[in-house]
Amino acid sequence: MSGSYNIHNFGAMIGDRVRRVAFERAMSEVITERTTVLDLGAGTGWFALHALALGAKRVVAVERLPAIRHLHALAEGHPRRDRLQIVEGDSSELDEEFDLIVSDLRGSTPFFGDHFTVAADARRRLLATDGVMMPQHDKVHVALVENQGWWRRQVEPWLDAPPVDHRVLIEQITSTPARISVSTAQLRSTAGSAIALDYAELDELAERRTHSGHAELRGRSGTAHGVAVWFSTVLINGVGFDNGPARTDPTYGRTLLPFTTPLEVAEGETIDVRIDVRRHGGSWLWQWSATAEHGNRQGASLPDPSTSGSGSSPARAAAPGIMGR
Amino acid sequence: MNGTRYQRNPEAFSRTLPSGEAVILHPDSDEYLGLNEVGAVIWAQLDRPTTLEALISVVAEAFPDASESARHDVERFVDDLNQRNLTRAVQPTS
Repeated sequence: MSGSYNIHNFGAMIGDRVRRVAFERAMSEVITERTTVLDLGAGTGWFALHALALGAKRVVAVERLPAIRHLHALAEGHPRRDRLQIVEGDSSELDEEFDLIVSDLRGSTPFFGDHFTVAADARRRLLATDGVMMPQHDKVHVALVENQGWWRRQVEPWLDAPPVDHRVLIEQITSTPARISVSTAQLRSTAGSAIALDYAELDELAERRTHSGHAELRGRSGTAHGVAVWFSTVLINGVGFDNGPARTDPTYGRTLLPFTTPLEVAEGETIDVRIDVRRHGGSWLWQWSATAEHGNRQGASLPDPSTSGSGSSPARAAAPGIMGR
Repeated sequence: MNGTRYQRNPEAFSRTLPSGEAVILHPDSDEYLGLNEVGAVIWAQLDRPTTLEALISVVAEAFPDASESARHDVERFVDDLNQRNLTRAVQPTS
């Protein structure tokens, strides 16, 4: 669940009208002709250009990826071009304070790359006293979801494929979070907020290795193939957006945490969904469980060392034992 | 350890493998650890607060041919998990 963006992804983000309008509105409520603005992780610099259009006093766009080079051409001839500084590099190299730091360093969830670390450093060193950091809060939402299309494409081919039992492949596929589309009609439970992220506490978020939470949901009759995950955000008070199933294909997509076998859900039953998200190197690992009255499912995005080449299978022993890998 | 209930450290991510074994990502060291099938059966029970007696019963049921030292083996295994910060003793809920 990590990666990087290119201009195609940045284009899709700008094309997400709900997202764009929310950022436009939030920025317009903060920026005046006295405001200095940092566009953190600027991509092709859309936030920076919008800040210029709103008359910001000074704008710095910083981005590690080469996509930022396009901003030189995009800003050429702009009547306020002299107020814009373009930095291809890391925000840790900057050393000045800004009244507004605006960023969107998330993937399909806020747990993406070094989002928290980069944002925490910027907040600590680069945000002026009484400055505004945007976004301010995210919530991670979960619901059970039926996704026959994903199941048919990814799992069913292996269910009846003699001459061998392909269970090992199914286990691996269903241990891997997938990006899916979700509509409200596909939900097999109510939705609930499992994890709240307060970006006023970015230092603490960046320090924490594991982010955990759960939501108590009510079942909707049907077959669930996993837990769907998405997020909502508050940019500033009263302005935000969400990527929930009620929206048609938001740019962020949604994440499916799959079950190895589908879970039959009864109408109205209580289901406790727990998720844990853990930093591991430069990526994030997920662990999930759904505990219902008539069954439970769990999974984790850990590799099987016997097939991933990271170690040998532990010896079979009569007594319980732990072996390092 | 009698009467004490044990539960997984929620930061110890784990997964049961098709072989019946399990893999755990250590919460502190980021090292992968493997559990054999007997250990994996015990680990599965530890997703909720569980007593040693309950664990011994589960092992005896799952592995009828387990040796007479099963009780001692389970105690030693849980002690090992605790020392590695993979499980912890939990207070009973009132």
